[in-house]
Amino acid sequence: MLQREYGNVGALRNPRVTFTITIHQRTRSFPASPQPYHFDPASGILRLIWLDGAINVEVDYTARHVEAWITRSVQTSAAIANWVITIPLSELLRPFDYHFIHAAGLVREGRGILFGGRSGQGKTTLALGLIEQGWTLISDDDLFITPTPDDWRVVSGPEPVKATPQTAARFPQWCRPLSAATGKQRVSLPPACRIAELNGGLIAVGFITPAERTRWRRLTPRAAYERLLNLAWLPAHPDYSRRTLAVLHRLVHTLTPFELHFGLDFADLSNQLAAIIGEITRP
Amino acid sequence: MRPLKPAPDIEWQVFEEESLLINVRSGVFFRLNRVGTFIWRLLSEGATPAAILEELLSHFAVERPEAAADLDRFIASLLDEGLLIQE
Repeated sequence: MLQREYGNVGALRNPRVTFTITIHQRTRSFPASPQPYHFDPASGILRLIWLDGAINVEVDYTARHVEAWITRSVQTSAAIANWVITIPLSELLRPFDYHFIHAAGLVREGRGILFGGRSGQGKTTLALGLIEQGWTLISDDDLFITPTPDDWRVVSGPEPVKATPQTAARFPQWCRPLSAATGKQRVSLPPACRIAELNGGLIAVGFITPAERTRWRRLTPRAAYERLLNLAWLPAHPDYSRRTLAVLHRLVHTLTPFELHFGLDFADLSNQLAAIIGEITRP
Repeated sequence: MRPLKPAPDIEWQVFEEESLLINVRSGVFFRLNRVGTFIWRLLSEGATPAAILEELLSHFAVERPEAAADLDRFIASLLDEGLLIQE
């Protein structure tokens, strides 16, 4: 059994959320569940089940404790980190009105854009390409957002920036080998290229779709909301779930939502994003 | 038929004339078009199917038999999906 205490995770120092994690090698069997998540109102505990039951996690919102049972067959530390740390952390932050989004966040001249997308759709490649062109990174993959009275605060999640071999080959100046098993590379950016959070100035939320040629189009708030549900939202404690849904509703109505067909052509992408920002900020 | 009301785990998010019904426990969501949103709004306010039918006839260019059949089918599907319950 391993017990560690986590605090000061990522850039999130306010609120400072400290929680404990207990990790067991799997020593008990768990009932099959039709859903990968189940909130038990009697105990107040959220149960999460992944990889056909290889990872079972219980999140206690009140005690801020995470209990995890993991089989030996789960080999990748990245998977364990995601399911045992990042996702439970995102649950424990919901009572503080911080909501997880699987997205990259980048800033230029004080204006921020979120780029949502599933793993492998190009968030990190897009982020590194934009950094080469003078943008500043909040995160390439995991963000927490919270509404402020008239804007948004966006905070980086705890995950370091990692790149696939293909992406690393495009940006060798920043990438170093990390895992022989997966070929993933750690990305070390100059400090000037990163900020921990953005307080105000968020203008748009985009959704990446791999494509032959880079182009973009506006989305309706409803279309953007559906994409956020697929990217950002895990049903959990019903009260917190309802709040997250309301926050996402506000997000798609206060920002400009768009779809980015991403063709890995950064010269064209720069023009496209300049056009997007020009249109968004046009009086 | 006993009075109808939205199921307790259903969250309704409106986007102009369209909307989504989201089950906050399962994560499953359903899309409602303009007419579906119109009907759901009345259902959530406690209107009976008979009253909703009259509202449909006064707001949309549709014949009574067709509107009644469509409304019955829509309410049946909401009940089947657990989005609507009978008190």
